[in-house]
Parts: sequence; structure tokens; C-alpha cells
Amino acid sequence: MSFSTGPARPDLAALPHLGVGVLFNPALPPFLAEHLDAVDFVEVIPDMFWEDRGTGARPRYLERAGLVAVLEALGARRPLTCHSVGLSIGSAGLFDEAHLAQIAAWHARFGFAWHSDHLSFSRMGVEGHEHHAGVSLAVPYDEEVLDLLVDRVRAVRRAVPGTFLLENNVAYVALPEQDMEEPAFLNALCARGGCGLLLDVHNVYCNAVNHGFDAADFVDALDLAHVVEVHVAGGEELLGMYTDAHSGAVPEPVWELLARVGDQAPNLRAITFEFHESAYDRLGAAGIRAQLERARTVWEARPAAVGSAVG
Amino acid sequence: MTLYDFQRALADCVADGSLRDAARQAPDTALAGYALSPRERARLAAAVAHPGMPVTVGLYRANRLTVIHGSLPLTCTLLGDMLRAVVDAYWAHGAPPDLQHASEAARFAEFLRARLEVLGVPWLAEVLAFEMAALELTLPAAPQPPSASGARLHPRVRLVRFGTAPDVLLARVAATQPTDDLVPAERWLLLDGRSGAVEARELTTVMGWTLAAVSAGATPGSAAFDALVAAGVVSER
Repeated sequence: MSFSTGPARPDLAALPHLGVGVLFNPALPPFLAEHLDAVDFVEVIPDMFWEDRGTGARPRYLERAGLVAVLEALGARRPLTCHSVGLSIGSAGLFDEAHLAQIAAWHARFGFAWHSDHLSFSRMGVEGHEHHAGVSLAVPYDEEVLDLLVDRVRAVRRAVPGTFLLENNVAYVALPEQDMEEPAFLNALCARGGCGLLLDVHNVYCNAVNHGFDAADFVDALDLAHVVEVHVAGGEELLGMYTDAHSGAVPEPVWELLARVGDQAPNLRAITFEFHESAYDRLGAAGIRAQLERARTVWEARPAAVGSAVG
Repeated sequence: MTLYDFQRALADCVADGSLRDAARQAPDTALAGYALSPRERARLAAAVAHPGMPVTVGLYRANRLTVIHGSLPLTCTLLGDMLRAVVDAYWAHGAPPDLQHASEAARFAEFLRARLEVLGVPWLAEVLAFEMAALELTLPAAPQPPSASGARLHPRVRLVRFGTAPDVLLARVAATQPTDDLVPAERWLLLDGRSGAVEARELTTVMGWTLAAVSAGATPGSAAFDALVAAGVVSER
């Protein structure tokens, strides 16, 4: 059980209604130059805009000026959200306060609507040195891990102003004998830590396909009042598993999950379409627009939008 | 503490095929070096045998190779069929401290430089040097430490020595065409990143040797040196 006192609970209902957006990748600028009307906001992975020279380096972060200029131009025309990949919040052996300070500085500079990271670990402190796992790995859904993460989430919220979201992970390896099911773990983490949930429904779909559970049941077991943002994406088969490859169009069952969340998540503020830059040619501008327009139908059909339109 | 060791063991099992195989056969023995609870040991034994483990390993390999290939594509092309064995040998040295493109490329380049003779791949040294130089110039400029007096290269230029015509060699490698008929000849390429974009231009032998001397810490007195100073490629302190 954790006894540390957290910051005041975030008021998720007060967050701006951003709408439908896209996760920035290096292939996107030409699309955004012509089709900015298709997105209400742009989500960025801040880590791709700087070179992180390591925990001992001074200065540690060197910005990529050309990319940052793109970000500044985008930020002048659309709201931005921050989706970092660098915290490794689930690492038992390290907690990177310098990374948080960098996120806080960018948060102040770019006015992100909120910031998020992934519920996983990829970095390890080993005998005074740091190792990278090379892949994002899921944490076990145990009480011990929950206590660790609750404290970490509170520390993040103290270090970076604004609402913090954690994204549910995709896990190809199932770990036996966990204390909790994933939805219960996510509910408890959000309630106790005071973070919101970035619900990646494609990750849920991947896990459901690979591990044989009902994705709708998973969504129904979540406290959807914690959901601020939803990610949708496409994937592909690899070595007998369905993977979160961000390789193209969103599969129909994922759209159905999105609609299910949209109907029931009172604090949903954004839907983000993710695709890898290598999928740009396959999707094409029309294909990207089609995904965004499909997401918009869900956005506009959610009860909050219908209610405000009627009222 | 055991959660830390569990995470370390799981990551090691993903990265290390021999540990993974050993943990599948005899988990108690293979994982004896990690402080694990019985539940964690059972979880790891289940994880290495799980059908999702090959995908996780595949993603690990793809992530690491993407970083190397994205930074050093011509080097990877030149290694050809050897690439898989070379990266396996490189990865067997252990986990990287990070997966930043520049630092991972630099570590892989150092690994290759130490094995150029063993690998015996023609033109590998030149292509690797060219790609590392170009990569360095695409990175944000790090603050320069105060230097001793004397001449030095502008921090946004690099000099690469080739053993054959660089334009022909690089074009052949990019097109995966044979390079064994290229004529040996000392050639010098200057990579210039002062304008923001990286531009390459070939230097005369005299200019190349003069810049090489400056790189080595000398301050040669010559017309070539004066021309390089005038062009801003070399600065005097």
C-alpha cells in the first residue's frame, strides 16, 4: 500500500474537447500542409524532436532544429498533445526526473493540452549503468507494481503541470498468476494515482485476438470516466500473432470498440489515428482522410456531442 | 528488489536466445543469477515458452535493426548477407544504454571498425566513415569544448578519405551493384554541414592532405591551408 500524498485530483471534465487528430510522423508534413482541415489537433512524440545524449550528458537534450520548426508551425495552427515514449514509468530500477523536467519545459513552451506516456518498461538501471530493453514490455498487474506506479504517477503530476494520461499496453506474452485483470489494474491506477487513461483500443483488440478474450468485455470492465483520449490504428499478422504495427487502416472491430467507448466515456476529449510513416504510401492522403472522417463520425455521435447539438 | 530482477531477466530473455533456450529447458538453473520470487520464476518460465515470445523477440530485433539501418543504410547494404551474423555478434555484446539513433550508430560503427580486417568487406571502412560523418552533421550541434591553440576543422565539416572514387562507390552501393572492379586511388571527400543541409564535394589531394593534417592537430603553412581558412573550413586560434 502506498502512503504518499498525491497532488489534487485532475478535473478531466474541464479538459478541452479537442476532437479528431493524428499522431505526427515524418511522412505527415505534406499531408498536413494540404489537409489540415481534416484534423482538430496533432499529437507529437516529443522524443523524436530531440537527441537524448544520455543521463550523464550536459546538455542532455539537443533539439533537432528543422523538426522543431515544423512543430512550432503546427502549434500555431492546431492544438498539440504530447505522447512521450521515453519515461519507462514501469521500470523498477530507475525513474528519470530529468526526462520529466524536459517534458515540463516543452509543456510550458508548446502549451500541450495534456501529456501522456506508456504503461510499460523499456529501460533498466543495471549496476550504475542504463540498459535499454529494445522493446516495450508490459508490467505485471500486481499490487506491488500498482503501488510503485501510483507513486510514480503522482511524481509525474508534481513535476509536470497539466493532466497526465497513461496508455494501456499491448503484450504478446501473457504472464500467469497476476493479482489483477488489466481493467481492474487500470481503474485502480487512475483512481489512486490521479492520471487519466489513454485507451488504445487497437492494443485492446490485439491482446483480445492474441490471448482469446472479448474486447468488448474488457472495455465494459473499465471505468470509462478515466478515458480522456482514444488511439485507433491498424495492425498485421506476424509469426502467428496479430501485432500493433500501425501499418494501415483501422480494422472494423476496432471501430466498433471506439464507438462503444464513445458512447460511454463522459470525459473523452480526443480520438487519435496512429500510423507508421512506412504506411503513408499504402494509405495515401485519401486513405488517411477516410480514417479521420470515420473517427469523426464516432466523435460527433457521442452523447456529449449529440446532447450539445440538440440543446 | 525482485521486481527489478524480474524485469532484467525478462529483458535478457528477449535479447539473448541462448538464455531464452536455457530458461525453457531448465528455468531454475538458467535464471539462478536473478533474485526472483517463485512466482516470478514461474512467470519467466511461462513467458519464454509462450507463443508470443517469438513476436516479442522479432520486434526487439526489428527495433534495434531499424535504428542501425536508418542511420547506416549503405553500410548495411555493403554487409549484404553478412548483416544478420554481424548484428547478432554486435547484439551478443549486451544491451545498449539507449536506442538513440546517433549513439547506437556510433556503437555499431565502433564495433565494425574493430573488425574491418576480419570482415574483409571491400570499401567498408570508407562507406562507414562517410555515413558516420554525414550522420554527425545531421545531428544538432553539441557545445564544443574549449580547444587548444592552433588550427581546427569547422565543427560542421567532416573529411573522409576514400580508396576509390567516392561518387562511383556510393552510387554502386546504393544500387547494390558490384564494386569489385573499382580502381584504387586516394580521394578525399569534404562533407559540409554549415548551411544546415549536408553537402559533399571532392577535394584535391593537396587540400585533402592539408585538412587531414589539421584534423591531426597540425597547422601547416601552405597556400592550401590559407585557402581552407579563407573558405571557413578551417579556423585558426
